[in-house]
Amino acid sequence: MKKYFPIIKKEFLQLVRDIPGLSILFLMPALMLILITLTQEKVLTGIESGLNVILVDNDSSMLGDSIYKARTLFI
Amino acid sequence: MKPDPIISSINLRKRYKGSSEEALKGINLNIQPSEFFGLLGPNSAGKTTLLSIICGLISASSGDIKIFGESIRNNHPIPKELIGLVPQEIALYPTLTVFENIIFFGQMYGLTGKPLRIKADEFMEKFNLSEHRNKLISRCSGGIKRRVNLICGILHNPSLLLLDEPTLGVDSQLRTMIFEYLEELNKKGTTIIFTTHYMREAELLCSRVSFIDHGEIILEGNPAELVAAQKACQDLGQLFLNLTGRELRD
Repeated sequence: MKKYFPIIKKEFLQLVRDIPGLSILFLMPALMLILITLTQEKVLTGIESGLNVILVDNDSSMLGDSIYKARTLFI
Repeated sequence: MKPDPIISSINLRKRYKGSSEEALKGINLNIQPSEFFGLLGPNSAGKTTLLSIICGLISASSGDIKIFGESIRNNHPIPKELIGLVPQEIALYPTLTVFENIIFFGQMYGLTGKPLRIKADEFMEKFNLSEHRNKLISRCSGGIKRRVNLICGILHNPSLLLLDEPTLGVDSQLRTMIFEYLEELNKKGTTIIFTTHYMREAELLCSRVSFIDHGEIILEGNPAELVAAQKACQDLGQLFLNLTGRELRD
């Protein structure tokens, strides 16, 4: 146990002084997050499904009306 | 009556995984307390392997070795506080300062608090490192790194000091300083095992040397007596070449 604290301190000092390593540690995941979001968005919005959908609104309420109006968002 | 040897190996063998040849082929060695022992041999002779087994970094494939009377076969932990190792390569943290490295290694050997800091300062003063105290190791010269490497191995006053080519790539001034300090340590009772490629160093420092080649001890004895026994040889360097040949090693 006596040796753990010096090891933790040493590791911490090594980490904070390694600027290139530290920037890679934080910047790379951030960059990946942005890139993946952009590519996935393009995949989802760029494809037309060509699916025929019938909307039967027997309810004739505001909810049914809203679904009808919003149909273009998910078809 | 002779005192019990500090290191005693019996038929010690080591084969690395994937290697067809044994690195050590049955080493029998006795090293007495307070001895200045030289382990001499060409590259890949088995010197570093033997030192690594002694200090517990790697295990032997077969055979036995007793360190401070305790056999490694009985799973006794090697008393690391009694052993100091100065490796061939610079084994320091480049992003820590000179002082931080010394303190860290001192803590790893069980030293703590103010006594450790005082000791670190004493050693830095002795090895002329005080002005480089806060310099990062990555920005230090080879000579400074070598000195810090040595201090990290001797800071805790080990009874047994293992030096694997401690003067590799150092200038004459530093080499002389290191020798003087090692002689001083040895006179105080520290057992020193020393590997080197410089035969003159071994001749000057060691009370006994062992020539090791292809994992076997080929000759052992006092350097002056060994040279005197070989009429064709004028010094240890010639004897070394006669024993190990002139072909280049890996």
